[in-house]
Amino acid sequence: MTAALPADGWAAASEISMVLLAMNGDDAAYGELVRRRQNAIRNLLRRLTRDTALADDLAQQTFVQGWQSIRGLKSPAAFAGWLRKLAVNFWLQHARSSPQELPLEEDLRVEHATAALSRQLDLDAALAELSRDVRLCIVLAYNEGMSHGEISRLTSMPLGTVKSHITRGSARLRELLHDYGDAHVR
Amino acid sequence: MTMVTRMSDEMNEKLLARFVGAQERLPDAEFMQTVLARMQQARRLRGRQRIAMIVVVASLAAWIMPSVLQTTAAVMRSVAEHAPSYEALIMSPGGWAVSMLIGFGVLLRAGALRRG
Repeated sequence: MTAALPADGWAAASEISMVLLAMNGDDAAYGELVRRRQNAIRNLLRRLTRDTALADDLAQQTFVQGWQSIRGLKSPAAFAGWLRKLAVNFWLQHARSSPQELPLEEDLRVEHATAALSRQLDLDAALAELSRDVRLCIVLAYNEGMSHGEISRLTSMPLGTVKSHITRGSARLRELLHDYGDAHVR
Repeated sequence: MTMVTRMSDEMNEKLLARFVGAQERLPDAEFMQTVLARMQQARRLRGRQRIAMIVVVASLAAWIMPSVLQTTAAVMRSVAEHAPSYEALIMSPGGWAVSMLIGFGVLLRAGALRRG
């Protein structure tokens, strides 16, 4: 591994400069990018998979793939979106190869019934009820704050389909969250 | 109509709040360790693949080299045998005209004749 900056210098470095260093083969810079982005990518994959171990495994694959292909990145400013696309592609690849998903871990839900965890499990359980494409659109819209156009470009779904998935998915999610006891966490 | 839109916006805000609430601050030490280990593993695998590729290419080269050398020698012998007739052909007016045409074509393709 090479280190173009001292370890305490990473915190102040901008993401673009780190991406540029990583594109030139600086593994320490890429390591710092992983540290900064891991939370967002893992949370995104947790919403999509509802399985923390699988989400972390897919996130690790995403970062390793990112490290291997970062030289092909067109613009350093596009790093975050590019990484998110890699993560979504890994999830889609996994979802296509294994269509059945794990049942919700009810024991875990009882053991750690804090308000935040309960809210998260309710949301993940509700998301799991949605079809794969609808879930993807909903997670990208609400979790990632992406516009319909951005989702359409990232997923290669027509814009109309994305809008319809989000409208119908939001309505269904609202129903499901109500069924899971939305009132107690409000 | 206005009422429906407002309800829809309200619902979206509520959903958004649920997503924001579900965002966790995840511990990164173990995750980082695993990613770095996987990167190291990928680096080793890539090194092994490069070595295997070099071995395959070198073996192929060693295997086909004798026949390549034989064919090259045969072609050179044949060219040497026919060289006088090629020379006469190139020196003829027809050969000269064809050479000029080829040269013009090369200049045209390279854009050397373009203005500006």
